[in-house]
Amino acid sequence: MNPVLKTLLVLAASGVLFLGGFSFKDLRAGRLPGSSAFAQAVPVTNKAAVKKTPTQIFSEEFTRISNQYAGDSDPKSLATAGFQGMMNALGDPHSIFMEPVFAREFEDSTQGRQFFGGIGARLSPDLLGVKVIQVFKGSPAIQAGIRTGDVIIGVNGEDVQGKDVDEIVGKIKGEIGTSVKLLVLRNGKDKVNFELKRDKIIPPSADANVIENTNVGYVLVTGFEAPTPRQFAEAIQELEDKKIEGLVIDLRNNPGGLLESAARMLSLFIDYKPVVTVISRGDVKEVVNSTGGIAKTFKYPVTILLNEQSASAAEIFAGVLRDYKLATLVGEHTYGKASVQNVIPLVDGSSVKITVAHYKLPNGDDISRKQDEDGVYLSGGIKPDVEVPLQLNSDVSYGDPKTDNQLKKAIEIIQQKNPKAKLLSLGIQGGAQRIPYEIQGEYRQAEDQARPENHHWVG
Amino acid sequence: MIGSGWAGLVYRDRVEMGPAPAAMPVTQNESPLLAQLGGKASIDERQKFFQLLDLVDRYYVEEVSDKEKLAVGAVRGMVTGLWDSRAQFLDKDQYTAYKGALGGELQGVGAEVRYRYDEVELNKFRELRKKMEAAKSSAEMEIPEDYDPSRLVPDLVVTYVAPNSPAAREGLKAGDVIDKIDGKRVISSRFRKELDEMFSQIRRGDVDPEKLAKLRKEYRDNIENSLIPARALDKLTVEKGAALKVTWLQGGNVKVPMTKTIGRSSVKASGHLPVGGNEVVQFWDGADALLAKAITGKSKVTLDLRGVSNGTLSNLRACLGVLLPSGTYGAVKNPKTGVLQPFKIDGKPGDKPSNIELITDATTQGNAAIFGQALLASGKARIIEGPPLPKDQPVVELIELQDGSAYLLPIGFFSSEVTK
Repeated sequence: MNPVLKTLLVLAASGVLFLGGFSFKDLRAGRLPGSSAFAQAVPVTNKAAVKKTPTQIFSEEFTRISNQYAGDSDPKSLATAGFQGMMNALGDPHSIFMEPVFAREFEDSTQGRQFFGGIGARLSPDLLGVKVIQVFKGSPAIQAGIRTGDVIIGVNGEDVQGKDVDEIVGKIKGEIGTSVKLLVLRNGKDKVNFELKRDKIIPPSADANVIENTNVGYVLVTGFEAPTPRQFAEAIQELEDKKIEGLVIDLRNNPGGLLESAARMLSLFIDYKPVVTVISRGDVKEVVNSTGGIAKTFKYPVTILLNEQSASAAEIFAGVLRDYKLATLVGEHTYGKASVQNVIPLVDGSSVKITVAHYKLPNGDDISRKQDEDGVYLSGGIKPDVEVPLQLNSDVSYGDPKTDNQLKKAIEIIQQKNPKAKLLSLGIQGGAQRIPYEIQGEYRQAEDQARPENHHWVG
Repeated sequence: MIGSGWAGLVYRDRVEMGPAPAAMPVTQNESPLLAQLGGKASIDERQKFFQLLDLVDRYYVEEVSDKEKLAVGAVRGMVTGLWDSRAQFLDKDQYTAYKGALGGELQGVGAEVRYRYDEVELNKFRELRKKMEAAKSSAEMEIPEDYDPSRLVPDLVVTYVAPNSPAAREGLKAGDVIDKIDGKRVISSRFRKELDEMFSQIRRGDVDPEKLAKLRKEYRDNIENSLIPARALDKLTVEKGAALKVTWLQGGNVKVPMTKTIGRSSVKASGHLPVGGNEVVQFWDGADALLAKAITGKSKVTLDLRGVSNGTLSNLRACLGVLLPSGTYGAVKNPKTGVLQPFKIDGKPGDKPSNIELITDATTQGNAAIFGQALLASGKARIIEGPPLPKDQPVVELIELQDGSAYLLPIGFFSSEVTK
């Protein structure tokens, strides 16, 4: 699915997205209907002497449009558009109506149930095809022997070089139980043929690896879904077994998810302590605590990577660890979503996501986003301890310290705090300025091969 | 997902606020065509709406004292959800500007600007929706891979420019498409396509890292420096204030852009103007009286139907009454309901011209085309210059809501062939 759309869907969902409703001026001024415009209005047939109730207004116009409109429309979509417009009129982008199919999609994504038929690898664009960035545990890909770094150059006998990654991914995915033939380029020279049976793939929302040539662990958390806390705990355990001396938790582009999941994950770090104070209507405050008894001692420095796409639960996770001085935040400011939503299912399968509260971090911070009338960020979100804008002049592949300057900075910070943490094989400590010239050459070469910037979950 | 996801977020917050429709006179609802509204609201939908209100009432983080706002929001949603260039919701300020324009007083740069959807994208979207809804139950419904309502951003098209307005002085014309305001791109489906193309190029990569970096920066800058259509429209047609630097595509042609600084001041335009011996009728309030005065004693009248404002249906009928005796000059048909309503005109006292000449061009559409067709149907008129009139022009009604907002709803198509 189109990545822009994906974001739109997960966060906003469905149909009348563009025109569905906020009156710009009402939003901007936050005002109630003025009387001046009303007074100037010419008398027209539709205006009743007695004020209609909101339900009457809706029902009359619904009837009028469904009966009189000359074009294509069916009552169901009309009503859906109406309900979306109604929720949009609250002026809160997080309170939305979701028609059944989107409600289901949303529910599946928060429960970590979204699956597809595929091979179980994460892929990223490459000049020759698509590069395997990661192979999921227990997947058809790992069973067949596909490795990280392999470049898929052919799918079902077709050369895929130069094709768009979405298109290639579309060819690799398919119905569960069917077969797909892959031609793989290994070590840049060996061509290997594979035939795999596609299986049901649920991409993990947290998983770990030790960064190549280092003893620093890296956990990529892509969401805060229902199964994420368990996957996160397993990832940490796996890394500790490998004797890491530092940990980078990557929350960039993480749109958040369940507050409960964030609280459970924080319970590994803080023992029964306040996570957030949730404030609902009428200033009713409720403190959410981490679970007691499962916290562990982290004997190595922890850094968290953030950017403007880190939102909601990701901001809570990062903000809480910052407030308890358990992690150093690196990267760019976060989105600034300081509200909590409930999803209320309706009988016909649709649902309403509605903002029920705001929250504050342990130190009392309100991180609400402020933006100008065109939606451009002004302030809010969590400011990282060490601000590092993503360098756009290199070819970035997230999670690869050779090209990902934010990750590189996070590793440097770990190295400064813990001398045992090293970039082992390169034997360097510190930034790009210390890299010997020859190695820079290697970097360039590596960049040229690793084109990617967009990782895709594939099957 | 450096670019796209980020864009998604920014995009989302902006577009959700949604373009409000154009302050664009089309018709108004004193017409008899709307009076015979029938049918009952489905109890299901009514109950569901009530249930939603109740949920908001109980759970929303702030108390919502103004529930009318929510109902009006629902109407806005329904109208915009028709994805029809002719169906537009007007918020209170826009409706005020709209009413001003009906009196010949235009705000902003002195032009009428409206939304126009990309028909190709629209049809694709409708097909996908149909495919989705073909599922037996919602549990079986799938979201197609290429389902993307965010591609349905309308273009901003100039439909009328008032003579002597700042816009007219700088050469803005009907048919032009607004591209940039004060250096910010107006989000349109074309702009969206350009962004998609740029993004896919970024993802494909380039052997030249400098080139790639440049492209990335351009992509990001492009998104940051953009305006949602509703904002652009308000700047052009509702707001007062400093002059705007406007870039438009002449005649909608990407290859001939034009950039000028256009002042904003309220312009009073006449509902009728004689131009070089020809009569130009704007279907505004009072236009019929001006027209009657202009043609007094003339047996031959030449009407220039080029670049005419849409005005209202009732003003159009009044003007026809000046030119034609009482009678039926066509019909309005609703293809969905099959209802065919005669288009009756009440003739006004006074002499009628026996010979009416029409001048048309590609901008002769909507009410101008309906006007021309009714005249042709009378047998007294002929086109002396320009193409034949487009058929099946939509007949659009205006419905006002009690909070001072309003919406335009196409209720049928004009047909001159059912006149007998």
